[in-house]
Amino acid sequence: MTEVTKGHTVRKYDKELSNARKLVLEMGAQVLEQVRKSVSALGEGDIGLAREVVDNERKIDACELDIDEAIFDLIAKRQPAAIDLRFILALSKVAGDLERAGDKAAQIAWCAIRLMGRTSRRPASKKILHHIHSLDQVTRRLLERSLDALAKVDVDLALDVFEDGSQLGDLAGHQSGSATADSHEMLEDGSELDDGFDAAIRHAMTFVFEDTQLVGQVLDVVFVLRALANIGDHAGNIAEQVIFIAKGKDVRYQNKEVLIDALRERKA
Amino acid sequence: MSTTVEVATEDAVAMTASDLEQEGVFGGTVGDYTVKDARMQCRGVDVYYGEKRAIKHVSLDVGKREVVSMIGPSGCGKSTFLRCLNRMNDEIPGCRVTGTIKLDGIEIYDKKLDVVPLRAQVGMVFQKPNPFPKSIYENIAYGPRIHGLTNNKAELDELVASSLRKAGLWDEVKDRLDQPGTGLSGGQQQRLCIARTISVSPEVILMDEPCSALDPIATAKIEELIDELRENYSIAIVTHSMQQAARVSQRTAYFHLGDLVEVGETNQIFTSPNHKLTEDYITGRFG
Repeated sequence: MTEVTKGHTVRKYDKELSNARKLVLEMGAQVLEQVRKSVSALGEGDIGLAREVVDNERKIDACELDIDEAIFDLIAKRQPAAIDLRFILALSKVAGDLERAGDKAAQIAWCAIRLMGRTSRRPASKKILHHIHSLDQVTRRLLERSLDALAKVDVDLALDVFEDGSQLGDLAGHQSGSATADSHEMLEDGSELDDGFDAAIRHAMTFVFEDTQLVGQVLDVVFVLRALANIGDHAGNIAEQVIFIAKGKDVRYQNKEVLIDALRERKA
Repeated sequence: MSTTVEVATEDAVAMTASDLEQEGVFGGTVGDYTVKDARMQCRGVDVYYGEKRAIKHVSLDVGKREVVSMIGPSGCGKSTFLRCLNRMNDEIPGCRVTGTIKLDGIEIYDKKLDVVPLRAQVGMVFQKPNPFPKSIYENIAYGPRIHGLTNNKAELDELVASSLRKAGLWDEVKDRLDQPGTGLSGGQQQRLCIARTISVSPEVILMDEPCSALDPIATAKIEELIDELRENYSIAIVTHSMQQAARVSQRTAYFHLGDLVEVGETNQIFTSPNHKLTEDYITGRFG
């Protein structure tokens, strides 16, 4: 874990940094709750809960504005350098990722509302929602862990997020910006990725073959799968920022498997 | 389908401050203190004031056409080191310098070396502007005259004008060259001192906190001037303002209690320093 809490000579600077950090972590907690509620609304067919998620999106946006303001103030007043500069830049990027993850939660809530309209206000079939349930578990764990890594500036936790992110790829067939040469090979082989997102779509399509009226529902399910995969991707971005804070190394667009090996080896 | 991906090699991952701390705080200077095209080369320099060792085995190059800044808390030895570069410490009783300091490959501490031409080659600008109590013209003309750099009045006039132009002061003083230099504003006086240094054609300009007595506008003018001077001279600057070091220099050296703790590209020092002490200092955690 990297030390970022040792006090500055100007103690007010510490308070301002810690306030910006607190705002981001609180925003993260709210986004996590939004994701949980949106998927729960979908599973239980709870329109009230879905509307609550949609309404709360504005609060998430307001959080981002507050964070931006705190960061503007910090840069203008303190001219941060080194780890403080990296920390502040990272917080700004994380706030952006969280805001977009919040948007995705609201999109899931809208899908829930549409699905309820299509199913005459009855929850969609558990079979159709099967893949969503598995993906939701992985996505929320990723987001939670990335926020935990940020809170502690813990490289190991951030690396765990990259490792678990590959599970997300298996489940959703989602290719993030960190797609590796290996994953391209998998795509060519049509093996693991076929087991993931394509399989989820094929499974969903079987419902369409059985009953063409289910096309709308199935499309909504695909939207939700994609939204959850995107949220997982934002968690990966947050983990990248944790590495940037701790190591001063920008690891975006890099092969994460090699990165994990390099950083873990270095530690060992 | 083949995809090439940028890979983070082990070397590319910066050592964390804690890694370095475990290796010992003063396990030698972190970073490369050499440059390809060195104007001055300092190796294993120690400075003693009587029994007190003020500089501890410092090695550092000053490259051609570069600004190297020296930062560190008060008493860290950065000014002492700067003053070694043109033997200003010779004037201090009880001060002893060991190690080697070469200017263009020639040892400047050679006993046979005359310090007067050395101090023309390695000029110095001080914290407080110190113009001579003479006219603006005479402030500039004095050095070239004693060094015999010009043959006649016309040449001297031209040298005074060109020095003032290079120091960005010509337009402000061209109509009052006969007035006292001490009548100028603080920022103008400092630029006059820089013009005075330039007039004897130095190779290296040493600046010891040149802006600490100036307001922000005068400071900005000096910083702009430093940037222009870099094209023709090597500059070593000691500054208490870390933002100034970040703005004007290409390389930064961090001193702490007489040790050169870390040296590196200014961008790297201010974004990802490798030594914990450097990081603590530039982030305002002590110092």
